[in-house]
Amino acid sequence: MADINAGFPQNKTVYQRWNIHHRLVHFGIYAPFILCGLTGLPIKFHHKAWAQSVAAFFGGGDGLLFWHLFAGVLIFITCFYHLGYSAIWAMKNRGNVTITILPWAKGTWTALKQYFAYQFGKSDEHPKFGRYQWKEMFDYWAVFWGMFMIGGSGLLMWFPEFTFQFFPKWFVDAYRWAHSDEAVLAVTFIFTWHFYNVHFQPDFFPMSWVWWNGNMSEELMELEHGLELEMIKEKQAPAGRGTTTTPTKGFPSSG
Amino acid sequence: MGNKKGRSAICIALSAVLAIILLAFGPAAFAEDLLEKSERINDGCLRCHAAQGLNTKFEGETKPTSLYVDQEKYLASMHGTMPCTYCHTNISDYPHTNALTERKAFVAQVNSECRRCHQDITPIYNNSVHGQKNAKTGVQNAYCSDCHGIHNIYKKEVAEATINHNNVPHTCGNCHEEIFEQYDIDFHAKSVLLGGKDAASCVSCHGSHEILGPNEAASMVSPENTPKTCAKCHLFPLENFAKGDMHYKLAPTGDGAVSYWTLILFTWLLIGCIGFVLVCILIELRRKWINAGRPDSH
Repeated sequence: MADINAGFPQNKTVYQRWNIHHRLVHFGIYAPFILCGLTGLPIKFHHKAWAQSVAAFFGGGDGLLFWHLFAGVLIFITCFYHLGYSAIWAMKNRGNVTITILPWAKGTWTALKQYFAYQFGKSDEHPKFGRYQWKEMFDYWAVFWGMFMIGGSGLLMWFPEFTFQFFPKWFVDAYRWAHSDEAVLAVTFIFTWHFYNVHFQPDFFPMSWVWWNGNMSEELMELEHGLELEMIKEKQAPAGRGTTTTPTKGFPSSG
Repeated sequence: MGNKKGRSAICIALSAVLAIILLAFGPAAFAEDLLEKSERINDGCLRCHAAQGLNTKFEGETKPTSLYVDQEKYLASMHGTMPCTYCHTNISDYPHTNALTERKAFVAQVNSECRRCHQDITPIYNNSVHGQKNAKTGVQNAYCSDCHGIHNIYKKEVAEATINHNNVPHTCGNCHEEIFEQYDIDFHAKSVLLGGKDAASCVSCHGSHEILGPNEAASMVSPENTPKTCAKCHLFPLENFAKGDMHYKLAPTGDGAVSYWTLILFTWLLIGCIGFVLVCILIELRRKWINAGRPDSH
């Protein structure tokens, strides 16, 4: 099955999954996410000895909050960059826009059924995923949900002079619990599920390189995005070895 | 005789010089004497009290109370240059024939000495909720030493001080345990307890010596004054600052109810989400294991 070099960029046909904008957005989310987690967890678990050490490293409670807000602002900037890029992309591709990250994109539910049938051993047919698997949709929309739960509550807590003109204290208190609990969920989710999917699962170990060069080999495309590969091949002849195809023409990529 | 006159003049001049010297250096000489005195007395006390493990049992108590004084800490403290006997006024001999053997009497005696020097604080303290309660119940509710410490009294800028910004919650929490638990889940508390200087500790909102209960009009935390108190940090006073309990309990009912149910909801959301993806990881790995065992996989 999967050969050990499958995940590495090689002198074979590769397909571009992420252009430079996608990769920048991924970086702009994950780097501040790590900083937010590092500076936020000590605030939630402030009684632990490690929390005190981390806080001391970042300059006490005030320094911790400064870097936490700094990272939060970076995530907001990335999100607006992503929304702006997506809007411009949609304008440029007017009349030919397929938003493949939407859960009702073509093939999602068929592939989901195939996925569980395959994993439970009911069928030997490998699931054929479209441009985005249900896992990727889950990750993507989780960030949207997180921006409202964590980003929204973060802004309300950051500017109490604004917040308390409109909201009572119990609302802000409850929103703060949502902020940190959702954050713990996000951190746990990323470091189990996302890390399994792109790092630890045998096809990708040590990692999927899409985040770095945006490319995926044909072998992995068959496994991970079989339906998309078929569609690319139907509409467009595969390029020769050692080149990168850009499937954006027949199958535009959104973000 | 001119000689006599001259001698008187010399005498006057010498007296004047002597007077100037005495006036100029007298207080300094006197202070030097106090410091020496305190060193001499304290050396005597510390000959025994600097020994760890020195203890006594107050009347009616089964547990021993330490009589050890950390010399280094005491010398660095605000009162480190004072003789022990300034506060322990009834100790003047060895063995200590006048020593108070009952805990309450002993603590009351030492704390009653504070006002000898700090008389400016006494009326303010007596008007506070602590002082009022003392007058009403006849029981001392908060001694100076309960908040300021004993041999470890420092200025509030010193990190070890019991009244240091970051230590205040613990100091108040020694008596106000329930309120401390409720303050503890607040963001102000988290910042303060992690070493932050910007967020509010207990005294930032409640005041210190002048502290009053929320039902008194002059209190910093009365419904009328709360917005103003918040505005010390939060730019402008807002009515909503005063609505609802600042310190709430995470419980299914009451002011913390919404927070409580939010916490429950998100805990189950976490268990559900992570449980689901862990199951997915397991079935995926199981399938890969089965595939790897098949002959066509090699």
